[in-house]
Amino acid sequence: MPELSVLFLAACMFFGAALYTSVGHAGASAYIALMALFGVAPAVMRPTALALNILVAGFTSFRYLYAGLFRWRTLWPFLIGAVPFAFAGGAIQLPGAYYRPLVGVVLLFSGARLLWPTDLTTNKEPRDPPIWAAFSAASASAFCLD
Amino acid sequence: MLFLGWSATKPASGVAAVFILCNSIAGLLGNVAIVKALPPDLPIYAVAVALGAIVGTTLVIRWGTPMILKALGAVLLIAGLKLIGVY
Repeated sequence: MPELSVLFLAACMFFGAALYTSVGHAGASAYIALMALFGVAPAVMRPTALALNILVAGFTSFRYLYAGLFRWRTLWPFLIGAVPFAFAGGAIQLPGAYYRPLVGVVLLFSGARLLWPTDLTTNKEPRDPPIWAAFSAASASAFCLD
Repeated sequence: MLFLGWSATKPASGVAAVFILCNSIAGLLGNVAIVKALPPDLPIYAVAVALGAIVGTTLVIRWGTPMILKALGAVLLIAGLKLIGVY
């Protein structure tokens, strides 16, 4: 029988996964936050979050692909820009003293904008992303944030 | 993608999911040694997040766009707080 704290942590992860997969994410940052709150050893947190991320992302990808909610032209420039750098980012640790707070502030503003009760006008008539822009953005974010 | 008008809201979820899957696998291949640190409780967590994923994806596929944008806003706030070191 697992400890009560493990069951509570699993229950919280359930809600985290439900929230994150509703936007196509897999929940790694939520799992890390929850494991930190529950006192899981730091050395265990990253591999656990990565393993859960792969599981959830795999299932979520299948659901959205099956539902027709996917467009390859949108994805591939991001993918070829990001995957090599995600591989490299898994092998090394970059000093994150500068870029992490910077990206964090950008995400906070983006999150606040989405929660603001005014519609986004830019995504009503979407167009394909420019290849160079998607490639560059994906390369930088994958290398720095892995 | 959404702010720059590069995707409609619902397909952006599908694109993000495949993108994250590929990058997570690449990250793991870049450091396969970390699998030795996986905890014995992992199967319990795996069942919990799998059930959560069923709920989350079902909500999006059956419900509308505004809920996705609000959920994404919450996700970005959580991730942003992590990056600036709140937790």
